[in-house]
Amino acid sequence: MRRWLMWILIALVVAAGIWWFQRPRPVPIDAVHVTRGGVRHTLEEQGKTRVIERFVVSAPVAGRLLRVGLEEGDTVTEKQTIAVIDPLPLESRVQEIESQIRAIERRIDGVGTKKPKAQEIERARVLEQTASEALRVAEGERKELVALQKQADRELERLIPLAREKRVSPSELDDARTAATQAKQRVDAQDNRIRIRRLAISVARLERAVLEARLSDYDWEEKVYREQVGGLRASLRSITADLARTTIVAPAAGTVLAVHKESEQFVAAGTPIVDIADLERLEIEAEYLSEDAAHMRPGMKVEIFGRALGERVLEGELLRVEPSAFEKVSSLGVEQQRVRVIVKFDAKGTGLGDGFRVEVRVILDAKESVLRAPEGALFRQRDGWYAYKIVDDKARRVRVETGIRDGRSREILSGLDENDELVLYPADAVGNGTRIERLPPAEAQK
Amino acid sequence: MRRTLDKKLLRNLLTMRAQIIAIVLIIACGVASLVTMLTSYSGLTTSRDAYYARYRMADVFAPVKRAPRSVLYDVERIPGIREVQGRIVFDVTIDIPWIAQPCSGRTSSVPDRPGRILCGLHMTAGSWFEGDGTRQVILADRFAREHRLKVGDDLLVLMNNKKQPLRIVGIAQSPEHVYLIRGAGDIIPDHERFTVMWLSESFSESVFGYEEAINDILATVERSANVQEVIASIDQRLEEYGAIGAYALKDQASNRYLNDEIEGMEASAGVVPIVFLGIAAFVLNVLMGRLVRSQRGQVAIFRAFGYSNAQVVAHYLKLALLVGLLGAIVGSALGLWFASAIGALYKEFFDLPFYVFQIDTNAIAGGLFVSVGFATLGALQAVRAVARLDPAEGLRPAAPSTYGRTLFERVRPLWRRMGFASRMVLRHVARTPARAAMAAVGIAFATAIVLFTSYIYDAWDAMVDTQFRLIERQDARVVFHEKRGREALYEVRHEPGVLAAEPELVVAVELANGPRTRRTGILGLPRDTELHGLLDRSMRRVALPEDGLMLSQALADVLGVVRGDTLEVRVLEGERPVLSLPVTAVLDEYLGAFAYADIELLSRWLDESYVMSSVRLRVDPHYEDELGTALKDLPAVAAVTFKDRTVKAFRDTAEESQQLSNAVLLFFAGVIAFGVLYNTARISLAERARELGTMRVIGCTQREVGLVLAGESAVLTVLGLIPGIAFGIWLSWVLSKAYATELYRFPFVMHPSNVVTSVCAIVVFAVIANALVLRRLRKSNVIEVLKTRE
Amino acid sequence: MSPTDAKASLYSARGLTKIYVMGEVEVPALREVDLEVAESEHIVLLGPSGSGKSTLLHMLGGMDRPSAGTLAFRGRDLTHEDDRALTLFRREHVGFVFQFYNLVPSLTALENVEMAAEIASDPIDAREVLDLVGLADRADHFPAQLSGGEQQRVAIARAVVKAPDVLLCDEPTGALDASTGILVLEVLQHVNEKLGTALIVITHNEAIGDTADRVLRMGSGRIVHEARNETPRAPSEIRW
Repeated sequence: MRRWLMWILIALVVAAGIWWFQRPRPVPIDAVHVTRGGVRHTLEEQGKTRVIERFVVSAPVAGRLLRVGLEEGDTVTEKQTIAVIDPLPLESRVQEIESQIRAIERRIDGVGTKKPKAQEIERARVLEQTASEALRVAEGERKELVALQKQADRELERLIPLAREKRVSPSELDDARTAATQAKQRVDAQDNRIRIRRLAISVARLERAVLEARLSDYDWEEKVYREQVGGLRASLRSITADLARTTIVAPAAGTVLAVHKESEQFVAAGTPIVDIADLERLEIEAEYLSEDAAHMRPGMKVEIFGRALGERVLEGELLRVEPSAFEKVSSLGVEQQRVRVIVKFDAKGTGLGDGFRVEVRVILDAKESVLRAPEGALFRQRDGWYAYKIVDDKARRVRVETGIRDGRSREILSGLDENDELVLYPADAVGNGTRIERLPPAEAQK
Repeated sequence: MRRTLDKKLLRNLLTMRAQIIAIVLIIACGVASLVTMLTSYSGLTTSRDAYYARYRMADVFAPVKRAPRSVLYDVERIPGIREVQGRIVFDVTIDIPWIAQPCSGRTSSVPDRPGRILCGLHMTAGSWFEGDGTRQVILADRFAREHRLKVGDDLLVLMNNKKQPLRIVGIAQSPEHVYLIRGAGDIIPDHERFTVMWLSESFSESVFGYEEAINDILATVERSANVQEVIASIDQRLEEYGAIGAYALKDQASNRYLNDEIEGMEASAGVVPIVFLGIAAFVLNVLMGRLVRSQRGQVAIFRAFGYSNAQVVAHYLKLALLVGLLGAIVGSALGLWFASAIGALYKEFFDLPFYVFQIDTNAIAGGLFVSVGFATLGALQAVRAVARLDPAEGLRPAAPSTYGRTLFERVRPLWRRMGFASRMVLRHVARTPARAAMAAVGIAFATAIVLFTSYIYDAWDAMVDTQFRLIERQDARVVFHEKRGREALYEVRHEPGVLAAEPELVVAVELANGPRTRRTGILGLPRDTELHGLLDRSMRRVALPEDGLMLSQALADVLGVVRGDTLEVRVLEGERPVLSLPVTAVLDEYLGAFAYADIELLSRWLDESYVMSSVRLRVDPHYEDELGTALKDLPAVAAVTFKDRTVKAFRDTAEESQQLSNAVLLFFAGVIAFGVLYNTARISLAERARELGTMRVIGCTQREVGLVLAGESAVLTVLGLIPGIAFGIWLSWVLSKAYATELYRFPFVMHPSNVVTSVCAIVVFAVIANALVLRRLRKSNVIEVLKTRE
Repeated sequence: MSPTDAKASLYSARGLTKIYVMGEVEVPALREVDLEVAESEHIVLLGPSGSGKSTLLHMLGGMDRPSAGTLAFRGRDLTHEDDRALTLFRREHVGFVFQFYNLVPSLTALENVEMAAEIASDPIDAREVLDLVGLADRADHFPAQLSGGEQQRVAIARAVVKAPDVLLCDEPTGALDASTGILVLEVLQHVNEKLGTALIVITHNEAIGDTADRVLRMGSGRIVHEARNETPRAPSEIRW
């Protein structure tokens, strides 16, 4: 009996041994932890810097531009001389004009001497005045005479009828008639006198007019000359101004971005010579897909990084999302609608220039202290997300609700606790209840 | 007299048929392994050679960026060149409407009119182009079959930014693509997603804008020429056209895999048959000897009747000869059958239009020689020993054989507990240690083979799991036609279903350490990569070095460099700079022979700003189809591979051949274990008929008597298992070292479960063998033995 | 007066027939044998080769089944019992002694006896039995180290240790010389008298017949003659 028992015992032990050793071996995995920290929903794109204000300094006047001593990268202060356009032609021009002016002024002088003097004109005027006075007197007298005449006439007229009636004597009548006739003669004589006076006025006036005409002619000539002078002076002024402007100065302090015309050459007015901008005032433009730009708002935080910045990551702010999208063929060959997004940031001390390539990361959403799990630990099954939690060295499938993700980790809304250990990239090898063994993490290479 | 002897021989065979069958099977397996290996080897080699010869495989391949057709005249004049051909080669995307993911293809131009071309086409359906071949295509056979495309169907191809339908006018195979992989980076062909196709020259020129120009040159060289010199000359001539570097046939992707397989077979054909045949011959020898020895009674009778020694010896020699012959015949037949099965597998796996199945007479002759030789040797030794006895003595029941105390008896308490059956078994085994050892050795071999088989299975599994789960963690890989900048990464990130994306930069280079050079690629990865976890063979995670290159151990070995050395790196693309880079780390990994570097550093070394040649993605399975469709339309994308498809293809391919070889190995182990145990037990039964009968008479039941026989089997099995396990472990270890090709190294994973499995398997065989013997015991009336006086 | 009437019946055989079929030939080994064996009876079977003595012995020992007829042991019908039942029957009730001893060579003398003792349900102490046959001092020797007579005595001890009801002996002295043979017979006698074990001995030696209670002569498969010994002789007294 005991023999049987012993055999059964051995069989059991063997069976147990077989079962123990035939157990599926623990699957090697990488273990990660659920941590608490920040998760951000970001969108990255390539961007490039641009100066906010770019001054294009161009030649104000045509002329020979003298060699610009500046190079790209030089800093300039406000009003610093940047370039000089050869002033010589202008200066000679100035002299030329000035001599022209002087010539004309001499002519003016000449005219001045030929001009009727003021006294002459005065005399003429006085003569005229006198004549006018005389006329007036004569006219005044005439008036009296006329009045006398009228009286005489009236008397006559009164007497005529009376004469007829023989009430008055024909001598009276004749006297009256003679009086009337005398009165009239007197008036007529006065009229003559007036005429003569008038004529004298006319003469005086004519004389005066002649003088005045002469004067105005000379005046006019003088005026013309003066106008010429005026014109020349204006030119002179403008050339002088130009002359003043042949020294081209910087409109503001900054760095020379580009030197368009370096060597000595003739430039037309308006030719750009140098570009200057304040490199410490930069902003970044990035072209995002319109679908993404729709979620961006001014004020969102933006991180700026890239090889140009080495290890540094700058913080910026989304300044503006341009309202219009434009079509652009993507790097992989499809047409996309892109929107330009402008980011403002502090460029001091970054060493960035204009048009430098950087990468930007717009932070659409950031949560500070939330539970998060590495992206690689989560997988989708049917319509939910799951992860394998390690409990007692075995994997246990748990369902999780996730929130925002940033490509590396995802916010965990429910299903896991802080410091839970998860299986990274379980694939098909791990199932619910599978025994696992942890692979040691990488050592940093020396 | 002779007649009776012969009749007796036949009757002998019949009575001992089970034993004979077991022995024949053992040697047959050994012979089969020899025949199979040699036949398969010669079959594949001959097929390859015939295919290459008949369809004019090129010796030299010289890709360039763009060269005028006229350059061919110059190349032709290079000394050593026999024939030259130019063509236009481009990667395109294929849109199969009922598949969500994009497929990719490589187009090659062939002349508008069929003629004798290098890397010719073996047409399996349809015909050549009509007219100038515009919008026509000749498609690869495998791909057409996979997607059930026929001549006359249209194929939607995205070429040069334009998607257009091409009519399939013909279906063909080419020796250039016996193993159809995309490029050096891939391991397994994906017949469903990648193919080659041929366009007419006129059409290629017009659609790719390559009028009178070519970008790939094929050449054959004179037999006497030095290929390296020819290649150097070609490189020189083509440098101005952006030559990427000419290479010889031995470096051509498809040929390389084919050769690897052939070389692997060569290696195993050298080792495996010898081992198997050796084991089989050994066992054959032992068993034949024991068989004959168990016939001592008969021998005595013969001698008593007056047969001479020579006649007796001849009698048994005939037996041995028969056994040997049978073994060789069965073995050869089995071997040829296996070889044909393997041939069929090869024809499918390597896209061969025909498989030359040649019966390797050398192998058969060798098998025959070994089989017959060892059988007769074993029989001879035994029969001589037996024949030396006096006839009378032979007739008498043997005096009770001398037994002695065994070691076990020292352990008093244990001994006292043991029943008589156990004591009988132990003493019997201890009495003939040599015999027991031989049997144990047979068991040991069988155990080792099963353990080894179990190990290989696990090793493959471990390799696949390690490579495709622990190392490659991406779900998909998007490869671009040309290198792209960082915007490409952002753009891909935007596609539907992309959870994460990492850039990857593969640069074709030639690494040189003095005279030792190697063409390979540098794989640039982000320093904080999550999708390609570097892992060494001791399952330790490794980080990319901060500076310099990290080399695979295999590569380092080939180049003879160690950590700290400096390598000359000749870049084969773009500006083709020559750099001098330090080797700052060496990675002992399983698969691949690559160099690794930080992608940013690599870009910088190439003087580019952050470029990538492909992107690895983590994909949300919900959107997988959508993603595939979206990627189909991107002109810059050359190919998209989804990892689980690759793994599946890998597993399917490996599994098929694995299952075959595993089954064969297990069969062989079973045959040996079974054969040894069965024979031992049968012979025991015969030798100890008397005492077993006595036990029965005394009143022991069949079972109790059976236990004695089984007990002996059990002890021998246990004795064999222990060294067998050790031997199996050693064999596995040796293989893991020996099978270190450049492509992969077998991990040495040995777990207790492997041991348990093999032990269980052997125990099963042992149990079956014993069961059969016990059945025989039951059937035979042992008591009869006692009744006779013999 | 027949002593069998007084003693209980051990064996009762009626019409026992055994025909061997060898190819196309039928060989009748026993032809309708009737036999009664009483408890503790000492019987000697004489006869030439092929007379069926061994066959009869085997049948009595349950090693063979008759082609026809019945065989009962203490009333229990053995004729149609299966192999296992017969094995157990042998185990409990029958002890065998062979001409060529048939000891298990890989066990010591003591172990050989113990082997039988182990499977019996109520055995005698093995050492005692060995002592009974006078080989207590050779207990740890292997059969190869024992003489023929010693081996046979061990065999007897082995057969007896089970305390069987009957000892079947097939030419127990056939391979021994006279003095050793007598010794062996004495042992057998001793066992028969002391333990009351029935004794059925096959021999070709007529002289041995004198030691038995009954002598049965067999020929051509039949019992041709039955003789009773009123006064059986002691083995030491016989000569051959």
